[in-house]
Amino acid sequence: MTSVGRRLGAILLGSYLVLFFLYLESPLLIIFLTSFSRGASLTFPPDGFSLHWYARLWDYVHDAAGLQPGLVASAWTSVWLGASAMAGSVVVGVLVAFGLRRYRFRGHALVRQCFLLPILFPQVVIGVGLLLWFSAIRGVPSWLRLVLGHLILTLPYVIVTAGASLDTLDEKLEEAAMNLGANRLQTFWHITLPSIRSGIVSGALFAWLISFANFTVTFFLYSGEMRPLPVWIYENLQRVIDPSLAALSTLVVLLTLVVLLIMNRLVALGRLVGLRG
Amino acid sequence: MNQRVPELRLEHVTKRFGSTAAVQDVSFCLWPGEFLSLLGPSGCGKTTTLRMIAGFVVPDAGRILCRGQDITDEPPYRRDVGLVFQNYALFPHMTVAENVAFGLKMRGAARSVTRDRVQWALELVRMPQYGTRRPHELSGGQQQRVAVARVLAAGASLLLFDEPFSNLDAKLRKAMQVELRELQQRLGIATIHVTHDQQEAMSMSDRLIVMNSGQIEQEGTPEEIYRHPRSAFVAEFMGECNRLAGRVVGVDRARGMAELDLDAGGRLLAPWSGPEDPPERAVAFLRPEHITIVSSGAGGGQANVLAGTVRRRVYLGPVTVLYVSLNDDTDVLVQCTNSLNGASGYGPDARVQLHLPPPSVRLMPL
Repeated sequence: MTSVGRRLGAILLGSYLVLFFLYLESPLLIIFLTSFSRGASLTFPPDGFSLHWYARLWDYVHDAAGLQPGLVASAWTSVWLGASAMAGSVVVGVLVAFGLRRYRFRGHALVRQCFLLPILFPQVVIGVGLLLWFSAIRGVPSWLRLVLGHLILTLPYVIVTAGASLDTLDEKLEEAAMNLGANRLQTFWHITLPSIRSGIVSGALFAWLISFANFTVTFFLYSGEMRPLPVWIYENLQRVIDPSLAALSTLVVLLTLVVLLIMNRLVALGRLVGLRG
Repeated sequence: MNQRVPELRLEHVTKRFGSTAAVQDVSFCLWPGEFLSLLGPSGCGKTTTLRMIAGFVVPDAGRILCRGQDITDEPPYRRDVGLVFQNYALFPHMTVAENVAFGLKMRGAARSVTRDRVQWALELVRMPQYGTRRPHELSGGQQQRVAVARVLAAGASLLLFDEPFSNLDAKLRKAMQVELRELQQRLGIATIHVTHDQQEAMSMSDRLIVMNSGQIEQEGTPEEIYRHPRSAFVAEFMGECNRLAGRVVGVDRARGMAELDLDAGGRLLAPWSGPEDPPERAVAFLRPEHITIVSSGAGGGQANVLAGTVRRRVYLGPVTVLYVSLNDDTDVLVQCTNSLNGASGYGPDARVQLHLPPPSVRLMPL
């Protein structure tokens, strides 16, 4: 009786979990399934199975007619933009996190919150605000607009992850370094930075992902010659309904998963060799 | 004390945190080759004093001199004092050898010099074969040895130990105390050791400084401090101590004795050599091992003999401790050495007479 009840409970719990995950991942799942459709329209459920649209995507890489040209350029723009936002937020974010830990002053909590606030802002507001700002000061090249815009969004992630690593860093390690003759800069370089490496790496990968996937802010700042991938996909979707866009999206999601996997590995590896957080 | 230049000299050093004085007007010297312990309860200012010597805390007033040079305002990395941390603070992302080489690397030593010196330091702490290990692969005792090797390799001319044994189990702690003390004596390197453990401080040190509430209570050799505590605080901090309050009824200047009428009943003669008369009320301190049981049964009336009842008997191996209740239920601890024939035979409820020899009594104002 009890064992039957327990099995029933396990089944119920199992189905609940499956349904819940299906719901959570449904957007990705639907795109994924649609990308293998045989039909010519972007519909769900897909009719039949084929790799046709992946082959078609390969044609678009070579600027085949049907979609706007420039798929490869857009992809590279996104990769490059992500890398720039990543580099910028690592340099600035680590320094911010370090400063926030090192100096205690009045309004410390408020300043910390201000650095993290952009995560919570509606991105439309950020986009419009930046657009107005850049039209007012003029002369800012579009690549710089995009990098600066993305930096606002990616910086908080590095501040949070590097800050979390710093929180677990034993101050005695830095004191020991100074006691052994390392000045402040040497201590930062040889002790502090290596100790928070895994926090910096995960913050950096987060930053790249956030930038790579961003649409809203990007939409306000892109230009003809600088068209990141999400904008390129959106513009094409507005003109034609082509399942090869689903194929492209699937590939983008896979790339994201790979980055997440790397991140997971690096952080776990960091723990393994005795690094903190 | 003499004409030598002290390794380290603190002059009227004071440090406040907010409105509380963590360290107040502390002055002392550390002589070449000396092992000095700063002893006191937590919050007594010993750690702050150590951190000021290391340069992590800047004093509000006073001076710190290292071999005659004022280092009060020098940053930590320009002092050659080697600090061994309580948790050792080994760098987890470096090997043992890299840890030990760190100080030399920071000071730009040549590679060959560094290699030789790392080897020298690791051999000193008997760990020459551990260079390629990571700190987390070492036991607590080994980590501590590496921490010591690290400051020695960096060229420290003075060692600071911040409660270095508190993370070790009892047996290893004893072994490390002996080992570090021997190493310190072999190198003749002056050392300041901060601890709250009076046993540890007494067993290792040439000299002790007992601190309380940011101030120095007493300074001296372990024996001086144990035998002649100058305050109630020191008496009680340095080990088990009986305290018996009473009224001073007479002073014999010629013999240097005062007579105390104890609140617990009975009279006690105690040395009194102060220039002034003792206060009207005073406390007598005496160590449990100085009290002897003269006989069983009732009686009394003589000075320095008190009657009581054994309430509890605790067998501790080398000694047995008896808790003896006096007439007013004051407990007196009596420590008897256990002989080859066994422990003292007095059990609970036995009536005993205690002899409190006058030279063992320390009289202090209440």
